[in-house]
Amino acid sequence: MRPLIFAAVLIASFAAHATSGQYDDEDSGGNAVVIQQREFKMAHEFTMQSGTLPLDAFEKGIALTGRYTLHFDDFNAWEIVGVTYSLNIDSGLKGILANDPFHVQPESLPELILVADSNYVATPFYGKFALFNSAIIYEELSLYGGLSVSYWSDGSFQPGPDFGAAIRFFMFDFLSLRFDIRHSLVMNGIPVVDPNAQINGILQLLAGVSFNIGGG
Amino acid sequence: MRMRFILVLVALAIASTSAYADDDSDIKEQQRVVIQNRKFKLGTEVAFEGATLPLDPFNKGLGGTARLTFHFNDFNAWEVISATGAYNLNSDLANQLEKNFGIQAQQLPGLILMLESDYIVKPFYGKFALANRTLLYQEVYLAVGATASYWTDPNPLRQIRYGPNVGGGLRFFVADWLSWRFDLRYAAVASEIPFLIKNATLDGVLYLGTGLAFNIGG
Repeated sequence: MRPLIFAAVLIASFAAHATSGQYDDEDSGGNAVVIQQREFKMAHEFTMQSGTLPLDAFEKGIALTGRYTLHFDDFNAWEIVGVTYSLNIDSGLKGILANDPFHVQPESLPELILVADSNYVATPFYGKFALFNSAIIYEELSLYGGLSVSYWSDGSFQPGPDFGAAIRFFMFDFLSLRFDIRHSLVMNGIPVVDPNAQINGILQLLAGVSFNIGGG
Repeated sequence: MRMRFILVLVALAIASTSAYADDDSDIKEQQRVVIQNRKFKLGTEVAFEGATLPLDPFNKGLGGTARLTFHFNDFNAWEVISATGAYNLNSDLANQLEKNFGIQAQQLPGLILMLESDYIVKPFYGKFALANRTLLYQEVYLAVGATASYWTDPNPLRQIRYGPNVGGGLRFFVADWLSWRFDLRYAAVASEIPFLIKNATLDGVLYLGTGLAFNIGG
């Protein structure tokens, strides 16, 4: 009986704290929090981005990305497909390893060519910024989780989970500017089960524009 | 005369465009943009962050960072000093070089300490609705400045590397005195003058960090 009472008191205290939190966090605007209707709503989103894939020690990738996202409501969306092509540029590490003090000729390693991913998108944050206290810019912050499949220059496919976040600045109903950070963990076998399995990290830092159709 | 006339026309066109943009930027607020006073103002900020430094081919660095920043006003600040200490874990490449090619760990350069000083501009301040229920105040800032770094390197000339850095961050205010911040910085550091001196090295240091900032005053 005593644990039950304790649990009830605990839950009640959490509930009371949450209620108080809602009314407490805007002292200068009265006692209630007023959330405005969203100025911008998304429906069918087409995104074009560019950026960098900096993690490969031998090749630094310039990213060219296209995405299609279907927004169900203000909070939930499905990024049905995103495809990133990596334009690879030699990092110069092979030259460093070939010279003093290493004198090592590295074996030819596969290069990343494509990453395709599909993600659930949660958008819990929506708000507005004052830009230099003179103009209002609407924005939202999204979190991603899903699956990636990567294609490498040796013809192999490596799947794995991915996660990330993005911030979007709305320009018009149909146009927004967004910045993404994403990380995929792709593997050529099942770790633990396959002793030769390797895990590769693919970090994507991206910026680009999104075109919205519908939503309003 | 014609030139002056064109200049006047261009000036008028720019003025009318910006005025139109101002009027149009928030139609639902009765054709006027109303900017509230800032709820949170920063004075002297001390921040502590954990970070990853993923770009080094030989090491995957975990970083611990401390920063001291003076905020002059809502828009301008000076991050007087920030220090990042790196704890390096061998990358796969370093393991292969050590196991298969007899390379000693001491031969592989690795970042140990990074000092930065940056001008900070904070153009964006605003509030988020979290799941349409709770208000969260936040700001976005950009940083540019100089970096000096200390590396383990068998060549003493390459142990100190310096160069410019750029970056940005996002801060969520928790209380007057406490905020949670996310930082992305990139420093390009060189051991000597790159392109002019043949043996000069040029390395990129990417910093992805998050941590708590404590505010005094403001």
